[in-house]
Amino acid sequence: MDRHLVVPHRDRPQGHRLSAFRGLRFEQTTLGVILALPLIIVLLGLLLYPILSAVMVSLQSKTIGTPGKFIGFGNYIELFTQDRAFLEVFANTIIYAAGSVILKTVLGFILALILNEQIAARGLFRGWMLIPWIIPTLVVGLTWRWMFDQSGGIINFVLYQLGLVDIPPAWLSDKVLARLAVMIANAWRGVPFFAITILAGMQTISAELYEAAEIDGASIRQRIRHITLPGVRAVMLVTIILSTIWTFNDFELLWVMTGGGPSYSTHIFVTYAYSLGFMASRFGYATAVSLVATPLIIIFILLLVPRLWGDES
Amino acid sequence: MRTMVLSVLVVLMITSLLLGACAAPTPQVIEKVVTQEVAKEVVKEVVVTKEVPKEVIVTQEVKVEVEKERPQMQFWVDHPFYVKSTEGQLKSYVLECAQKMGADIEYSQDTDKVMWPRIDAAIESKKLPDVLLLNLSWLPKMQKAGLPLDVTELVKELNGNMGGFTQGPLASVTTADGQAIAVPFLASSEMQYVRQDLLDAKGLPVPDTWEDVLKTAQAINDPPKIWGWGPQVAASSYDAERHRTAMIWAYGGSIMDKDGKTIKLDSPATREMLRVIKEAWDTNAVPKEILSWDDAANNKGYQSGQVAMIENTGSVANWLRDNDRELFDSTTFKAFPAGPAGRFIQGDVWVLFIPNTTEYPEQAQELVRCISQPKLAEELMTQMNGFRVPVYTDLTKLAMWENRALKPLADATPNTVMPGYPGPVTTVALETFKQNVIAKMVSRVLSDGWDADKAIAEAISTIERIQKDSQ
Repeated sequence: MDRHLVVPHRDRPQGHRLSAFRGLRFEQTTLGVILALPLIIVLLGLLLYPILSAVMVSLQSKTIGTPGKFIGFGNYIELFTQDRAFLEVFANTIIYAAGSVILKTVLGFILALILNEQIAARGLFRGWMLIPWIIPTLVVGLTWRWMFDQSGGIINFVLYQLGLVDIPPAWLSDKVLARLAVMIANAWRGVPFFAITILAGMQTISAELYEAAEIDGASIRQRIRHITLPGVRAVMLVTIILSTIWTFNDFELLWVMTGGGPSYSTHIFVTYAYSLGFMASRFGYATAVSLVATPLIIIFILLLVPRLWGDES
Repeated sequence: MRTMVLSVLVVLMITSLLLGACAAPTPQVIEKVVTQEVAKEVVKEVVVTKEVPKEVIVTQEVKVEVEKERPQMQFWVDHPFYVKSTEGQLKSYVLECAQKMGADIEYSQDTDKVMWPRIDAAIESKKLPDVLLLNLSWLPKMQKAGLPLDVTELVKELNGNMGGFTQGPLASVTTADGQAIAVPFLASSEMQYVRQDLLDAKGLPVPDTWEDVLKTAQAINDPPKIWGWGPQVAASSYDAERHRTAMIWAYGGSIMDKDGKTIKLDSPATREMLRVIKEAWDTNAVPKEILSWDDAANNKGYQSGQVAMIENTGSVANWLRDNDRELFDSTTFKAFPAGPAGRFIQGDVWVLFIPNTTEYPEQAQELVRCISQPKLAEELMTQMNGFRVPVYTDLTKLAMWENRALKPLADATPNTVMPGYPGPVTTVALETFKQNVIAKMVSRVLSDGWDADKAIAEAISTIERIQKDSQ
């Protein structure tokens, strides 16, 4: 007999049925764990091995085709003390992620508000809205690159025709304008995702709340502030977390639009790591660049997730 | 209890299944051994007794009469020809040569985006194809990984064909100790395109030096209708790296000294180069978008009539001839601009590389010998029509190079030097080129507003780091 079934418990009635039930639960739990164990081992291997391998490579002076030489934190020290470009890349990554996510949040919220209203062809608009999200990033990058072109781009054509500029600005060759341009392109692609998720959140808010607020004389601004925003807060936080992670790792769009230029002004961690790894063949150093981004994202998530849980509780 | 026993059994079953899947299939191993024995001897009676894992003894008697095993070779091409017929032509030659040699070839060609990570992965895993056609900028990586096969004898032999290799391509495959690590196959040359109609309208002569180019650009500049000049300066552009380095040479400077070890970048010549480019930038004689141009953007700039002068290969001439006859007729195709120290072009070379990991070194060399034959070289030159130039001296004398749109390309051969000039083509020189050190330096001045001293200092520290890494 299983000894777990006969262990007495001081504070509870020692009924046979209860003991048997507890034993059964224990057995089921154990069985579940044992059955899941191979999968857990495989999953841990799949998750941990690449991470540990990346950490190990980042501690080496490693080029493609040669065995790595262990140098401890040499790559990280060089990154923060000698690599002037890296500090720019660090700042760019924060600016790009923050700017893009703020743009997407604001525009996505406005779009969701509009699409939540009883407007004509609402279903059609909701479908169309997703198109930028569906288009491959490569195509988005090429299209926006062409639109921002100094000589033949549609944006400068309009500005010039309206008489707003004498010499069309070189959007992708000016540090500030290039950063703005890639954020606009990123926001254009990402707004549908924000809008659709926020819209889903809005539809869970009871219409009675709005009716009651309206009867009480609340203005539209007050209704948005005190009903809509708290109602979609949780979904917005999840969307922001996901989008921030994606934006931190947004390689294709930036590489196609600017290649990280002019100079280093639109290089973020991933593009810089790619150029170091595949153009300069510095695998160890490039991996260190990639890994520096990880703590930043973790801190960001740790800051936001408690708010999310707090909201649910 | 029953459940526990059941669960343990299930886990044991899964584990044994997994372990079973990982175990080596012993019968296949024996078959392979037998096949290899037979392949070595054309007709042989072989009795193989081999001890294999799991204490299984297999004895097999084979009496066969087979042909020698055909080499199964791979040929990778990392070179976008841009001319479709050329791609087909090369492929058919490679297959034809393989046929003659009695080998099977798996031919694979793709764009840089696909091929570069593929070659990197192959280098890392030491699983390279038998022959690769790639840009010489790959050679440092191959050397560092200890992968080149010594092809000195083959290069010597091929150097006896078609008047021998031209100087730049030959230098690019030769190491400091005189060993050849690849075979030159194609090269590129460049010239300057000038809008003659605009010069005539202003009564200006055709610019000859970089200084002339600057003055001419400022004189014919009429933005946003047309900009005077479209130089390549973007940090990620290989054209920018080549052209700006050529300017430094033209002003009498260099990146490295003759010994190939001493960095000579901090010189008046480098400052002159930066001054000319900065002046063109500050006076709006160049479109600001040049900082974000890729290697094809100056082509488009000239072809669309947005810039009046560019430096490029023969590709723009080809396009103009086929698509814009008017612009073609009003274009002067001339030699690359010169400087006080002379006229220089940084050549680019595509080489046939045989890694020492190949199972078929003899056949790989035979294949390279076969596709380096004059007939193919001439056909490729004709089809590419100036997009690439020959690596053999005699082919620079073909009638096609007398065409006014192609002549400056062939004439440039004596002025074409390789990365590292005036020193040897070292790993540091090629890595400096591949990492766009000079283009990034120019970008710092134009985009970040750095002065020459600061930009040069950063470039030198990058080269020093490359030197350290390559030791």
